[in-house]
Amino acid sequence: MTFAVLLVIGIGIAYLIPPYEAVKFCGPSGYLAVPASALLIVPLILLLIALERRFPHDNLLIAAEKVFGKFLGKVGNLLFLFLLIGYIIFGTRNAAELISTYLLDATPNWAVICLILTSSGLLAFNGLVGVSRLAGFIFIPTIAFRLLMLLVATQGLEWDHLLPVFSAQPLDYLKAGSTLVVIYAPWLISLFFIYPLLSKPQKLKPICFGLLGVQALLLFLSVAIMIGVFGVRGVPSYTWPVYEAVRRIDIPLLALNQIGLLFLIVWFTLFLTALAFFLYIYASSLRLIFQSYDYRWWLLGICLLTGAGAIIIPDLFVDVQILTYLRLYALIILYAYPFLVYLGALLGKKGVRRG
Amino acid sequence: MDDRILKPLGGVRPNSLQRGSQWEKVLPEIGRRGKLRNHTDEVAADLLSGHAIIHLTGSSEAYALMCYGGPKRQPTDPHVERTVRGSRLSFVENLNDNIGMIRLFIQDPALRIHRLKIGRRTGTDGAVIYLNNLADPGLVEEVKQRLGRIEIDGVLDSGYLEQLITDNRWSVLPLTQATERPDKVAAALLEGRVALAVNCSPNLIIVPVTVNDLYQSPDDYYWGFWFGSFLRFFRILGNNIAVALPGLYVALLGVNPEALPVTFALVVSGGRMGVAFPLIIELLLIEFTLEIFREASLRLPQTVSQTLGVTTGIVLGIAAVGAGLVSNATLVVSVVTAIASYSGPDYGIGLSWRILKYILVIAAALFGLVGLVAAGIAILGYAASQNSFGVAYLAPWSPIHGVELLDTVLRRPLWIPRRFATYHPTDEVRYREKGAADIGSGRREDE
Repeated sequence: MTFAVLLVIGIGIAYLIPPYEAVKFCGPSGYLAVPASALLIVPLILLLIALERRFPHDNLLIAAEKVFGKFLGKVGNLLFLFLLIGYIIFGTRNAAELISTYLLDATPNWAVICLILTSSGLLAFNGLVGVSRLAGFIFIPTIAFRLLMLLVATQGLEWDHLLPVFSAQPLDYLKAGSTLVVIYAPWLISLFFIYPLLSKPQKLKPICFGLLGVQALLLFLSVAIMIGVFGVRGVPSYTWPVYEAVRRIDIPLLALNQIGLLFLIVWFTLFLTALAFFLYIYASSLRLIFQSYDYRWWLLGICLLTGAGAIIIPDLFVDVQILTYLRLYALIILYAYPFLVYLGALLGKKGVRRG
Repeated sequence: MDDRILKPLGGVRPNSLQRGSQWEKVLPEIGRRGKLRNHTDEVAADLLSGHAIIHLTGSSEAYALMCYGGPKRQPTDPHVERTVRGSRLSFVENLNDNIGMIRLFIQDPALRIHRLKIGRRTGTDGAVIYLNNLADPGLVEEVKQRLGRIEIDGVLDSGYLEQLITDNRWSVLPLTQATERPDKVAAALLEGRVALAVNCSPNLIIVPVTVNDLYQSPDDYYWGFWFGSFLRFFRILGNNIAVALPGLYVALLGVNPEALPVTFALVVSGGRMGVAFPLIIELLLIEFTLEIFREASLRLPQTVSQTLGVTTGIVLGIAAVGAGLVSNATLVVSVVTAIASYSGPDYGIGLSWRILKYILVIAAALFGLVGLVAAGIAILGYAASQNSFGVAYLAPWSPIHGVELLDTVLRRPLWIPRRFATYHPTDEVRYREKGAADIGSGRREDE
């Protein structure tokens, strides 16, 4: 169940993020940036496991307060949450732009953002149980559909676009891989918040590596198909190249005229569920930090903040630019805070010590 | 009462009734059929519920004998949950008769009937029915506790209990299952679930329930695997059509026609030429009319309801299209939806979807396919967050119970040995093949 939920979150939030830098740094073999990104995320997974062993009953936020003290811990937690909220603000705006562009061209962005946040907010309103059960419910059909679509999207793929297999220097693969790390962020960040809730903590390691394997495979297929279909020059010319690759699929006898729309609908389902999970995490974290007001008031606050932030972003260009920076610096943000907490615990001899 | 109590006491003047005389003649019969009472409030309650009280002057005890026949209805065919195959029996208004019907199906000493009285003024008799060595003791205790917490002046139907003991009183989805079929109750008891019955109600309540249970009909299991699965598949498909078709129609035709094949979109849109209203108003107009028809047809005298329904349906449909109020396509969608909404065996869940369908239609009218998905996900998430007596409402889909998915869209093969764990039964073995030694005579050959 945990695996299913986290995979839905991973795919829902970050999957349409374009691999511009992978193509920019590595050229036709940009798909090899995916294994590199998987390698880069392994130390963070190990950090998560180490933190879980040191603080088996406390999540990252409580651990931070134990390590840095109440005041500094709260400040650090708030800064970390602030950065993460920025992530969903831009993610929400990006999703709204995508929906407006392909499905609701006459509807203003603010209306689509309101729809997204109302739906996800209602999901999160019912708490973790509702969101995780929903994710479990939609997990098999949506993931199977997405995989199928990716395979069908190989229609029109030219193998020459993918050659040569090694077209860049090893350092370039690592550089490109670091920009793809953000794609694993949703489930990894979630685990820093929810690992004490796992019924079997010993499963943390297989869950992490299982998620990494599945997502890396899906990402590898996506990048390879994008490069194979559009070529190195074609990929950066699309805002959402993954979607564009699927949109090109032509199945004449299909009842619905455009398979791309069906793909978008399935992705939207995943996105709403993933967003609801993040809204839950932020609201419950703020409740934990301040120990005041009901969870639902915090949820309302987060929804309003996200909505306002997403509406304020002036246009798609700015959104894409900021997302590009987020992709570049996500690795630092991701690593820095948990690492500081763990380092503080080691130096201050906090938490469960072994041996 | 007359034959066994009064006649043996015939000719005896009340004042001369003493122990050791005629009293002894009737005492065994009273002891067998009556209930011993020591308190006046018990006696009062018995009198109010149709018992005769036999009390010996000076004695601190009395016997209560049920002597109220009352008007009784004979069991008839089920009215709502009809099946092609299987028992034709349906519950009646008498609690004891209903319990007797369940005993017809389950003759197991483990069948427990926990009787209770509910309703301060009505003093309605109720019963909690379960299989002692099968149902989860925690579940049985929870049911008894919830019933024990009810303090109400009257309970006139099992529907009252349904609303009072449910996990979420504001839930638009049915979190308990009502049925008029004894075989359905028996099947539920054999899964480790608990049934509730009250006097004067021909519907029993089964708890816990999952949404999956609400799509199962008893005759799924009376037919073979393929027939049962085939029927169930189309039942679920019908229900999905009933919920989603109007919203999908509005989304595809009204907001996202680009998703349709061009010829189809042109033909359907062309058919709407000359219709006076926007698509959403047109659809809601038909849907509301159909809702009114449905409600009115329940009240119409049976002799005229069918004729009147068909005639007005045809006449009104033709007239509405002719007058430019609705298009043929919208009419077809609404009628298909109305028919499909009756494909499910449970009236309660059908009613829920009928209500929720309007949310989908409105969301689809505002935001097209995106709105339909957003509203659908919100509804699904709401359903996922519901529990029925500690059991997840969407089980076994979520949380996923691998083997139990066999009994969802398809029908579970009867020869699966283990009882499903959804309801935490204490006896897990449901079926086993007897070995030759068990049978005793080995392979049988036809002569």
